[in-house]
Parts: sequence; C-alpha cells; structure tokens
Amino acid sequence: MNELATMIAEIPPYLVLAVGALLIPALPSAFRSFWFVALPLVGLALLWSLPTQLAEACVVAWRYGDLPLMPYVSDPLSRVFATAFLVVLTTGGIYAWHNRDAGEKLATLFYAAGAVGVVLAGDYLTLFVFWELMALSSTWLVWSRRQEEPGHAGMRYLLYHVLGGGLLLGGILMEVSHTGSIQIQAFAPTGGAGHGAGGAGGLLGMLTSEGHPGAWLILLGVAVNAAIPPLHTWLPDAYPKATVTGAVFMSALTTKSAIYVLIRLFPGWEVLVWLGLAMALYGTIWGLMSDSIRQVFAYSILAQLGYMVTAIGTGLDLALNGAAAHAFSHILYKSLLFMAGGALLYSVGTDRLSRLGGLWAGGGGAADGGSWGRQNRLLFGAYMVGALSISGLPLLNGFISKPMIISAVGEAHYEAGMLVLIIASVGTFLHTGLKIPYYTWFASPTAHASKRPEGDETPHPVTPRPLPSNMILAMGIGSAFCVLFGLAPNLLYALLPFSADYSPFKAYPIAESLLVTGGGLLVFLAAISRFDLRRAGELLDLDAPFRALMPWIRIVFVEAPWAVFEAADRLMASLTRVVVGALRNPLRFLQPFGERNGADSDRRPAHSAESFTPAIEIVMALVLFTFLALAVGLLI
Amino acid sequence: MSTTSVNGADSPAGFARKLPLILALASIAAGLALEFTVLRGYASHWWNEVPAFYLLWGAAGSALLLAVASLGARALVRTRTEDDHE
Repeated sequence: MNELATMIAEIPPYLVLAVGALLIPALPSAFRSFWFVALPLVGLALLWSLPTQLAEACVVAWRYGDLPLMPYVSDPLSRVFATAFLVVLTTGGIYAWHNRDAGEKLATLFYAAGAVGVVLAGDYLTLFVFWELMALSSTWLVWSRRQEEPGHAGMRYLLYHVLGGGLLLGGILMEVSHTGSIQIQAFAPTGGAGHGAGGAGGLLGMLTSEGHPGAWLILLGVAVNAAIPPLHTWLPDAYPKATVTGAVFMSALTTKSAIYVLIRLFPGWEVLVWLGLAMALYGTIWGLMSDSIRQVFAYSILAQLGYMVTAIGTGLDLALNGAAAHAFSHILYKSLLFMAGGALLYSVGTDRLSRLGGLWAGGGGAADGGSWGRQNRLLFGAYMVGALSISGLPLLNGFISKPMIISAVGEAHYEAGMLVLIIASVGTFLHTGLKIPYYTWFASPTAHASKRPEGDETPHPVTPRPLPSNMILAMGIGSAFCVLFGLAPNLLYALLPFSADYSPFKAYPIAESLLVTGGGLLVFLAAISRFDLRRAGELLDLDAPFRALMPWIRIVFVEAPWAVFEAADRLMASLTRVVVGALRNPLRFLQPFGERNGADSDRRPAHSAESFTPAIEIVMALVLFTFLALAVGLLI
Repeated sequence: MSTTSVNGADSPAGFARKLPLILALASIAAGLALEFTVLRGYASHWWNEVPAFYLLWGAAGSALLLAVASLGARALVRTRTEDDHE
C-alpha cells in the first residue's frame, strides 16, 4: 500500500496537467471548468505528498541514450514556485469558470504544465522542452482574443520567445559541450556580494571575468522571458491584449519561471543588480505613462521583476529568499490585479483610463437592476487589496517580501540601489494604488472627454454589464491569500529555500513603508488638482524604432526576395514551355529554313512535314558529308 | 452649533473626499512616531541621520516620477483609435 502511495506521489504534477489538458476537448462543456480547477489541486496534492526522503532529491530519473535525464526534481526552491503556479491556476480556473472555450482551457493547462515543468526540471533538456511548450501554448492565449491587433501582438510575442528559445538552446548546447553534463547547476558568480563572489572591477571586468559564452547565451535566452530591457517589449505589448482570463495566467507563469531559472543558475551575477535596478525604474515610469489599466499592470510586472533580478544579482541568501518570496507574493497579487482589470474590461468594455471614470457614483446604472452596484464595490475592494499589496503596505503580502529584498540589497552594500528600489516602490503606489483607482472610480468621466482619441465612440458614462459570480469569488479568494500571507508571513517563509532570519514586523520597515507611501500620497493629491495624468493613445516603447522600420524590413526581407522568387518562377516557366514545345516537335526549330522555301509556303499549315523538306535535306546532306569526311579521315 | 452641511467636510461625501488626505496624514504621523521613538538613534545607513528622510524621499521621488512621466507621455504617447472591446 505504501509502495503504491509512493508511486502515485512520484507522478510529476506537470504530467497531470498535460494529460488532463488532452482530455479537455472530449469533455462535456459543462464539466470542463470543474476539470480545469481539479487538475491543479491534484497537482498540489502530489507535490506536497512526496515522501521526505524524495522531496529533497531527484524524484524521477531516466536515461536518453547517454544522457541522464532528471525530469522531476523537487527541492524547496522548485516547490515554492510550483506551489504558487498551481495555486494561481486554481484561482484563475475559478475566475475563468464561465469561459467554455476548450481551446483556451487546453492551451492554459499546457502553458501551466510548461511552467511547472521548468521549475521541476533537473536537466537542461527537460527545461528546454518545457520552456518551448510554455512559449507556444501561451501565444494561444493572446490569439484567443480573435481580433486583428491581438493577432499581431501574439505574433510578436511568439517571435520574441522563439528568439529566446533559440538563444537558450544555443547556450545549453555550448554549456553541455563545455562541461559534459546536462544537469542544471549554478554558474560561478561574477561579483555579487554572496555565494563566494570574486568581483572583477567595472562593467567590462564583470562581463569578461566569469562565465563562458554558453552561460551568457543562456542568460540572454532567460532574459527574454524575464523581460529584462531591452528584451521586454513583448510583455506590455501582449499581456494587455490577451483574453480577460488568459492574462491572469500569463501574469503569473512566464516571467516567474524565468526568475526561478535566474535564481537557480545566476545567483551573484552582478550585472543583474544593475539590470534589475534599471528594470524597476523603467517599469515604474512607463507604468505611470500608460493609459491602459492592463498595460500599467504589465509595466508594473517589469518593475517588480526588477526587484527580484536585483536581489538575485547580489547573491545573498537573504536576497535569494527575498526573490523567491517576492515571486510568490507577486504571483498572488498580480493575478488578483489582472482579474480586477479583466473584470473591468469584461464589464465596461474598455480598460482605458481616458474612457473610464465615475464608476463609483455611476456604478448602479447597469440595466440589471443594480447587482452591478454591489459587484462594483466588491471589485473595488479586491482591486485595492491587490494595489496596496503590490505597493508594499503593512499587513498585506507585498510587505513580507519587498522590504526583504530592499534590506538584502542594503546588506550587500548597494545603498544607492536601496534608494532606487524605494523610489520604484512609491512609483508603483502612484500608478497602481492611486492613479488607476482614482481615474476609474472617482474622477469625473466627462472632465477629460476632449482627451479621447479621435473617433472614439465609447458611450459616456459607460453602462456596465454584471460580472459572473465566479469572477467575484476568484477575486475574493485572491484577496484572502494576499491578506493571509500578509498577516502570517511565516506560512511563506517556511517554504523558502535558504536559511535566513527575517521578520517584516519591525519598526524600521513599517516606518519606512508608512512614510514613503504617505509622502507619495501627499504629492499625488497635490498633483491631481493641477494636472490630468491621463493621456489617451498608444505608448511607444523601445521597440518603436523596429516597428517604424517594419515597412522597410518587410521590403528587404519579404517583398524583395518574393519578387526575385517570382521572377525566377516566371523564367523557369518560360524555359519549361520552350523545352516542352521542343520535345513535342523538334522540327519547329528548323522552320526558318522551311518557311523561306517556295512561293506557296503561306498556304501550308504550320509545322507541316512538307515545309521542312528542304531543311531536312540539308541536314541529311550534312550528316552524310560528316560520315564521308570521317571515313576519308580514317582511311588516310 | 452646526455639525453637518451638505457639501462640507462633515457630510459623508465630504469625508470621503478628504479620506485620502486623512490617510496620508495618519500614515505619516504613525511613521514619524515610530521614527522618533522606537528608531531613535537607529542608524544602519547614512540617511538614517536625516530626520523624516523616508517622507522626504517618498515625496521627492513621487514628484520626480510624476514630472518625468508627464513629460515622457507628451513625447511617447501616440494618439490613435483602438477598439479594445472584449
């Protein structure tokens, strides 16, 4: 009996998701949502029912030729990420309960299987396979919107991830040929504060001191999925255009699985400190500029990833714990925010701040007799829990991880980095905690009508449609998680991979959080009475030059080669016609001789034997003459 | 002595309008109380010597971010019509 239980516990959770996904199309549509929610719960049960002696080691090992594969390795680091992924798949499944689209559910389960597979992989080959599965299946969540613009964004998303996958594969092949091992192991650090860092001076020294080209290629490939600038533009491009339900899963899986790989492979790579700080500021500033709620969330993902990347770069145990804890917290509150943003899009038809406004007062105007009014309050409450969590306010789950990273960055003697992260934190509070709720629920919807894009016919004030109750329930569960971990941080700290003593409930982080957010709130209140922070339109990013060059790129790489191929095609067709004609009637080439012969040639049909008689006579005479000449030559 | 007015700060609507300011002042007061009592003499970084540094840093950072974002949006937001209806 015990052996059977162990055998069952050894089933990888991603296998449950992938096999379950294959059954989705065969299930009755009413049963699909139940199935979708049940699968991650089974996965969670399997993950946490592993016997202790297996939980710290390779659970499943195979051989593929000479390669020892480790497709299922469960250690504390992988478990904390896999747990977060499976939890968000469950709450997201409840949120998407009303969505009966089998294709979207199937793609989501494969996507989650890919993400869970990445964090449970013990070797590079397994990791790469799941990496690509994640890229392909998540693209479908953008395309499932079935509109032109998401279609284009999905293609750009896919191209980026194909590029990242190619870089990752190239790096893996170089790494395997360099070390002879496909086992995933951390690369030597290049100058961070922890894990025995060596520390070559300056950026050039940092880039050249450690790590062979294979490691750098792997880092580049992972940087695409971790949205490290300038390789980040797929994220704010695709996430706002994904389906209402798909964006919830996308916000949790791709970037956090990349963070896991960075923690696993690149702790103490100092270049990550500077990249992370740049990310934190970049995401914050672009988030403040964006007009689309879900794009603000996408940019704030970038900023929060910046915290994690910075922490990984320091290499300290406390920082790596902070990165893992922040990834866990971020998955919970960011999925909650995307649920709230998606609910707004579902209900009022837009997530543009320039088209919203006054929802708090006008929320009861739905044609359903007022149920939207109650839902609107719940939606606002859930949104604010997510917004205050991401802002790092005490008693919510952002507070148990963000100050841990800031503190660790200080311990690693990056004091300027601490100050930058604090600015990024208050910036997050400004756009997610203040700007979005103010302009969505409280600002007058008519005050900014002149700022609407030309041709915008969205009715004002918007008439919302009621939300499905499953959406409200899922947001309630998400909020409960944010509060639960905020109040009881040890629930999360017990899962963390390294032993590092940290408690958020001390005077210093509480005072820091209250003062910084209080200062930000005062400035915001002063600013909104003088300026309108909304600006309708599409926000340009670093890919703008490439996208502006697209017509020329299309001419050079698509239209010009196509024109050459077409010309070659036409030439070959002409040659073929000539050869086929010649083979059909070789005599036509002798026609010039025949045409000129005789006054009655006009009356003869073309290519008639008669018209070729003189030419044939000439040819035969030449042949005979040749034979004669040869005979004479041989005799002489 | 009148205690209520329709549009004044004493009405529920007026109180709701003032709530953000009240929250800001309350959080600042609580933070400063912690800083000047429990954390008095605490210094692990140079800025801990500066009174109310985090309040000033938060306010200055917010002003800077809003200014940069406001100027940046003028240059980087391209106006166009987009149908994002679900």
